[in-house]
Amino acid sequence: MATRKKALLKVIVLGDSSVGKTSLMNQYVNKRFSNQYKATIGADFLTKEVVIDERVVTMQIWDTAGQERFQSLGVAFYRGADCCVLVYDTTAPNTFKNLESWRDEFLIQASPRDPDHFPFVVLGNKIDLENRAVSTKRAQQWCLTKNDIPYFETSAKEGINVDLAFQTIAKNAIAQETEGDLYNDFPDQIKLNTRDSRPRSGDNCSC
Amino acid sequence: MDLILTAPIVGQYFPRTSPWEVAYAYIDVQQRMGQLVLVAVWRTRDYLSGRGGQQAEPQRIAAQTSVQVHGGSVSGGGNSGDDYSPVLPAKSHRKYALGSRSPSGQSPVTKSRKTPQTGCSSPTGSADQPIVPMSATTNQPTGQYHHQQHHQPHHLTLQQQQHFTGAKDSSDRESGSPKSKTWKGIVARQFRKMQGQPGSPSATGGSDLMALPDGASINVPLQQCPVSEENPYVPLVLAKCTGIVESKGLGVVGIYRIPGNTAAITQLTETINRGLDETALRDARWEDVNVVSSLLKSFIRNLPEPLLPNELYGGFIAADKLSGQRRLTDMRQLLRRVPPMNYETLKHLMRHLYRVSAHSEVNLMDPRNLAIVFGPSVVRSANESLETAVKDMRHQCQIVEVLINNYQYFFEDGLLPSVDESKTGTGTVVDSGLEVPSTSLLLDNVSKIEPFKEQSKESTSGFVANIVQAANRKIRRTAQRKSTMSSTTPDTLSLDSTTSAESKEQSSRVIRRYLELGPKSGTPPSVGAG
Repeated sequence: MATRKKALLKVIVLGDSSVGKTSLMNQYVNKRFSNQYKATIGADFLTKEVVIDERVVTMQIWDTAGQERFQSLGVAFYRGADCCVLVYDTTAPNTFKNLESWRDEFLIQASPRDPDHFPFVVLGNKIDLENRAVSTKRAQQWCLTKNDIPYFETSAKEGINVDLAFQTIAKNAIAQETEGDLYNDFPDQIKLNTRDSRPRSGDNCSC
Repeated sequence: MDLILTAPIVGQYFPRTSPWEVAYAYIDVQQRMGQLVLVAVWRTRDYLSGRGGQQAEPQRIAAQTSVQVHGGSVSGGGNSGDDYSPVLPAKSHRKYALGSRSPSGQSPVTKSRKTPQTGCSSPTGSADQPIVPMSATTNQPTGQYHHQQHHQPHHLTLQQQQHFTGAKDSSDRESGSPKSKTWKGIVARQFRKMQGQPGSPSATGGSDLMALPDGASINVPLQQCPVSEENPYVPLVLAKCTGIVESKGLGVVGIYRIPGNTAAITQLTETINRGLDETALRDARWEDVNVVSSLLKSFIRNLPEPLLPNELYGGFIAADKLSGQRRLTDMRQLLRRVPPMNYETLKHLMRHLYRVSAHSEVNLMDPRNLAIVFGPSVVRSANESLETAVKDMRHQCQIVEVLINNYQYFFEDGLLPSVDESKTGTGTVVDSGLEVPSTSLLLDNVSKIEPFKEQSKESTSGFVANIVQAANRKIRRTAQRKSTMSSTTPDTLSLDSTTSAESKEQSSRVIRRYLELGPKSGTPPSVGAG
């Protein structure tokens, strides 16, 4: 039991609309890039098998819709995530500024047991484009302030750094996994336990 | 039961109890027993107001003999506040303070029940303002708090207020809807806030839901929005936004999809909500077309009542499930039942989106993309659960897509389009084979979050639901382990969908087993689950 590791890693990809979340996932899983301009409804996922430390692990990558309204469904998407990928568009400063709220939002909705050490990875996408607006330094600095989140600059279109980034994502997710469960898997039971162990005054009389 | 009987019992359990507190406990017991309490509460309240310097109404009290008996035995005193004062411990002053807070509809009970909720939603929906000072009053040292809980004075203050409201004692009440001021109203509002306010990067103006001045446009009911000059049924803010987008946003790639600067949207929202006057309309932030488009989305999303009226929601979803021309004719019939304000607003919005999509070669926002952006905001149910949100998500988008695509037919008495056209409308949205398993997985997650909703249909008790949950979790785990054994991506996906079906079957078997065993042997739930 000591070596019990999850063989299925759930990865959530978050970020503003049209930063390239779907494209990154497609590039990583299917090695394809589509020029089609297509918003995502709710969420979609793809799975991919990766080998990490000589272990075969299935990554289930959840690509979420960037549209605000879909965020009310966040709880359903985020739950049980092993790693969260925050994506911004290097040519759109707003999408970078919003990383902070995406991160906060994720931590609130997913409520992992140890928010400070939950594995995030930040991807600055679209580096193939010329009109870059967020500098590498600025992005790195932000990542540093957030407990040193790994940062990659990618191009889903050209396939730059995509594999490397997702390898890291998988590694971080699995590393976290060995340190213990990220969530309380049996919330009901744990609730019962705490109720039993906590001394109670007679305030639960409901007669 | 009488106080004379209860008082010694209470005294036995809580020897340090003062008669005054016994009275509270007694009244509480009485409240639980029936409406008679109202009288007792009146009595208490009169007493309290007497302490506040105002003389209570002795005549009224004298008329209520039963209360006289209770009151007399409580503290052996008369009616005037002065008689009570020596007996009153310091705590009672606090109670008095709470009592006088009754207009706010807040009570410590409300607060203590609410706390975990506000904790959940914490940074997203900031706690209701009026509560904050209350909690300051309530948060006594814990020891004392527990002590008080024995006597449940909190319940008293809460119920007291409810009774006051029931007795139409409006003199104490400040303005505002009584419903929204009761704890139920507050909890409901908080819940709505949590549900409706995504709290996402773009949750604009989410915190100022509470007190919006007249002339506000965002976060207020459609009927209260300032209207445009051209059409008195169309909100001015909508007309303004669509006008700007049509004049300079039609060629912007990803218009409506790409969000504007969050800070600018928030500030513009605040400005607008102070009133859409000349200065507000001259705000420089209107220049940024992405801010304006985000603002429009925020306006639709934050309408307290959905743009398509709640009572028609089910109808629209059902109509969308039809095929061919029937889908269109049914939907048009439903549209005719939309109230004028909503109808004209919807029409204005759809005409605008139709125009935007006409430039989709440049801006890349075809009806489908626009529908994904607007669908779940326009077509939503006011009390939408996560489960329905996930299930109906696709239909919500499809409905808006069909409205944009067939704008002429729906809103301008255009001819009924041929069936083929409507079919492609549906076909383009439901195209990917991935979508079905992802929905089922989402629903699976939802069932974890809203555990009792799904199972309540099949199970009779919470226990059974618990077992099912536990069984489902177990099955899910083994399924997950199984799924990792599979080799290729498509296999994994199909496996996912089959396992979820499998798990349903297994869980229903578990229910049956429990129902068979349960009554006979009285198996504890944990055994059933194992």
